[in-house]
Amino acid sequence: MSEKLSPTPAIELRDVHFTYQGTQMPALNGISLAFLRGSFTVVMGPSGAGKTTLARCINGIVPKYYRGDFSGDVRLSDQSIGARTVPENAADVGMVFQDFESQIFSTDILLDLSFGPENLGHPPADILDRAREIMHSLHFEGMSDRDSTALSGGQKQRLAIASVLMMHTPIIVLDEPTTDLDPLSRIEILELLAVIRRSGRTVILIDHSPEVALSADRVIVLNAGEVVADGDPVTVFPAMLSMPMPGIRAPQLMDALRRLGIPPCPVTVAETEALIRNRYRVGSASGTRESESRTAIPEPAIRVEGVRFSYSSSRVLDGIDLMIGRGDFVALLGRNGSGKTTLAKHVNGILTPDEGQVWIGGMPVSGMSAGDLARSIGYVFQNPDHQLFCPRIREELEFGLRQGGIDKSEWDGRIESALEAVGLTGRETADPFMLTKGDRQRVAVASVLVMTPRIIVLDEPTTGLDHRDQLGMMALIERLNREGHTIVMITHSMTVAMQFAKRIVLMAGGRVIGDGDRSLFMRDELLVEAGLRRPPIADLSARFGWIASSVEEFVACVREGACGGEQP
Amino acid sequence: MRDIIEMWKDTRMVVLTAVSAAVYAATIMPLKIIPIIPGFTEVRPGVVFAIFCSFLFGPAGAWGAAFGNLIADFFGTLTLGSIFGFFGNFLFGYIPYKMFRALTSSEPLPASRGQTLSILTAILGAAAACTFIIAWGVDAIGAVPFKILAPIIMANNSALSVFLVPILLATLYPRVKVWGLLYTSVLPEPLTRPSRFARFGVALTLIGAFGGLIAGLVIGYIQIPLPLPLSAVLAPFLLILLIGAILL
Amino acid sequence: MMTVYRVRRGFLHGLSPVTKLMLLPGVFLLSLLSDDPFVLAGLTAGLIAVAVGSRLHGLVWSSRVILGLLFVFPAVMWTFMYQGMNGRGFMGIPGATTEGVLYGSAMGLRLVAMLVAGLLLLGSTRVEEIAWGLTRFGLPYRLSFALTLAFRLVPLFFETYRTIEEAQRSRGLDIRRSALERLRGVIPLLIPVFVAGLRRTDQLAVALEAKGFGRPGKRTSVVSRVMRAGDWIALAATVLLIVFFGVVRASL
Repeated sequence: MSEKLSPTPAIELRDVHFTYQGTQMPALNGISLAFLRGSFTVVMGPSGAGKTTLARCINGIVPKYYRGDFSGDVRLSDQSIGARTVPENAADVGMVFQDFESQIFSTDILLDLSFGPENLGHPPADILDRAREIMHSLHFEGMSDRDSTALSGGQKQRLAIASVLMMHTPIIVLDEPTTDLDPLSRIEILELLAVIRRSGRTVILIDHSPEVALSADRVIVLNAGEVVADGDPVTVFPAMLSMPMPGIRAPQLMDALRRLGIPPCPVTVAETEALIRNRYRVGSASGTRESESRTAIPEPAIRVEGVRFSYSSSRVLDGIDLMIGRGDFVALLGRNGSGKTTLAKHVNGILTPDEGQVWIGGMPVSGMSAGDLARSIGYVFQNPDHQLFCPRIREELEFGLRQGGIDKSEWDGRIESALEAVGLTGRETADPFMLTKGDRQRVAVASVLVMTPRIIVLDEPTTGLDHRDQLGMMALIERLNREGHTIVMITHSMTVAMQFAKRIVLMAGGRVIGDGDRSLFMRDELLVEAGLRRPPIADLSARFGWIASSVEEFVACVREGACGGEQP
Repeated sequence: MRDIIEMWKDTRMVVLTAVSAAVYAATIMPLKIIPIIPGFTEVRPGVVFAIFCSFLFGPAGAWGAAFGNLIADFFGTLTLGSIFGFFGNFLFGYIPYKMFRALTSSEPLPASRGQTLSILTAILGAAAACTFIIAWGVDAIGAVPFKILAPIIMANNSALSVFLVPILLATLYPRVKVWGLLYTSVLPEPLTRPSRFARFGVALTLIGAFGGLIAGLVIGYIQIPLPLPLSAVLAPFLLILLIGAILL
Repeated sequence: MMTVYRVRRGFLHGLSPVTKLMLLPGVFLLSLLSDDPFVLAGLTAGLIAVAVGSRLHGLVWSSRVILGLLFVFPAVMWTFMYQGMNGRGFMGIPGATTEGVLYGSAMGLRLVAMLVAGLLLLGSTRVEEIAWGLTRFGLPYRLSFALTLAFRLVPLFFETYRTIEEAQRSRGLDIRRSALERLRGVIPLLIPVFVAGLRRTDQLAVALEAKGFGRPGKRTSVVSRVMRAGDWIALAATVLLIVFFGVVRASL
């Protein structure tokens, strides 16, 4: 790859410092980087490291739109962009952002593809030709007049990327374009990236996944506004394994190799398997391993019987039967539109089934009032902003207590223990809107906990949180489960489901297609149907006949040579 | 007056216009299914947003109210009345922030009695102006008599707003300020300063709006015989209202 | 989400947005030129014929409830409120006059005609085309863009509003209580809707500028259209009708 790169940098940052208005800490602290024409770079780092700010500098969004204290110089093709406005840079730099909804400006696909080139003044006939071409390569054929609001999240993000490609910019910067997507859509986007690379453009991708970074020409790791690692992934990652950086996950296969005492290098799953088998005697498994064996069937907390439900003539739930025992921890997985959220909304009575019945602790949901339901079942929505509205955390928690008719003498104690549970003790007077997303999510959980519901339903509690906040949130949920709450968690993440849930329910097309422990993930046909893809370590362990949820677990097992047999 | 033109140069204001309009349209549309007067009015808790966005986003709130109402009509009730709806709602979003700035230089928070009074005056002035224009126009095309439509729109425009807007301002104004999205922080200072005749404008606006409303209702309910159509008789009040709004 | 635009290949879809933006006020004007319920019924029938010719009759039919209400409300109201010269009664109903019934029906049909005309424009023209048409009449591009962007955002906030309602209901917010409770109950709904909008504002503005919005120089448009023969014929026909009924009215 590298011999094709021409020596003139497409982008050059010279000693860039930037501090956002109203903040103290610099977001970028002396960044000097040059990006070669036609190169593909992945930028990584924990949240707050300055990745997004770096991306914003490249087309002048920083400091032209987001103001602050800026010094240094940004050059495109050896010309300083200092005097140019953001729209003036649009012909040189295409930008793709995380939130796909805020990048679509038109009501149908063709018009949205045309928007950028129209702004650049391209002739309409050229735009239409190009749009036809791009729709063809992105499988949007015959959809040109499709209403853009009717697209799925993955399609919307593909549309957002396509409409940037339409502008024919020599540089494309993508700032976490897959964070809000389900795993299958993420894969679609990554495949699209491969197409972009072949077009010879300079591409910069901000992404958390080291597996993606392995395929890049170059990896840059930022921390606290500074470059802490920069180079070929083949050299950067092995170095990183021996000196881990906070907030960055190591590539799982390489990590496993290193821990097993095999020199780590970028390899495929099959190659890794061969390397391990050369060194260790690992019996190929016949049975499966379970994280926890299940004993007698507990008393049911939730019972769903023959539930069918349709949204405006399209059937979303098609005969669901499910029993969830008291104290269980169930992860609900499936692709977008499989009916997970709709099912969860039946459990707390937001939706009423067309057919069938839902029971909570022996009571039919249809016979319970909003207050009763709020007391027995707590529902944490995906986006905390949809739940919070008060100027202070304490008032937010009082809202539920008041609605539920809880006696005032109990308020203080309940609020205190709810805040303690989520780790926000002493923050009663803080404004929820000014917190980070992770903390807002905690407030949303606390607002549910004050009602001390026996059952807690969480819709994607880790989406949009960085690695550290994800772990914090999951530790909290696990503790609630240990304290006796029944947990139902909707998630896209197989890793999260495997590591924390006691039971996994797979959904597709409004039906339950799999129900059991993580050994479900051995079955490829189920994964395809549920739109899931095994993380590398699970894929590797599957070759040994079981499913590992983490590198540590896999390594421990290989060392014992007991994989596939009895539990360790 | 200049701010409603100049604001279009700023992309943030363009987006704030669209966001205000979309939020307004999305909160008035669901209730179009249960109209009070089919095609012309329905219960509208969403009006709160028009006034509230005005206090926060100034001219973007004004355009947002006008566009939002038009878009709600785009989903099925586009008639000649939509034109009056456009102008009426524009004033509905234009008068609150302008009148408030003319009355006091403090922030639109219900912190002191003076501030609260100024907020309420601005809300009622805007509600009356919007009501008068729409009822006048719809009466002029002969669709619904003034005396029937005016009280409904006035109640709709003001009843919820006088309670909810101060509460919303108290909760959200400080946050929007921190996010840097107030029109006073987006637009350059000369554009946000009240004009020299602003107070005179307040007086004219109130006289035009309330005078017109009261005259129209009195004529309608006492059934005073008129030599001219009602719309012609009320036209002078409309003129006073418009001059007042321009001077704000 | 019930957007009105229908993807079709009908007569109206083939007209320039500029033409349609002139036809709409033309029809409004026509409907104002006559107070005769029979003339207005004829106008309505003509519009429905155009709807059929443009394969938009399904759209008109799906609006039958609002169209019905739009006719019935003024018809009933004016039946009792119209103060005519001779107070001839109508079918013995107290307070009702024949003149009132005729005038009321005319008013009802006038509104129905206007609404059908509006539906025809919206059903055959995408909002971007309307916006482009408006710029041809001198509306600055940035204004017309704000209109299309708002239109695009409505379903988004509609969805947000629904989610928030569900979220608050799951926290025990009971919307079926007394009027005062209901009044207080909208606060937990309105604030999150608004905040959701604000959190998007900067992202939208940045993404817009990054796509070259506001770049100096000429902007092109893929929806731009030249006027064709059909456009001129449609305009000429409407003008003739307006002149005819204008003359009739003036001679009364």
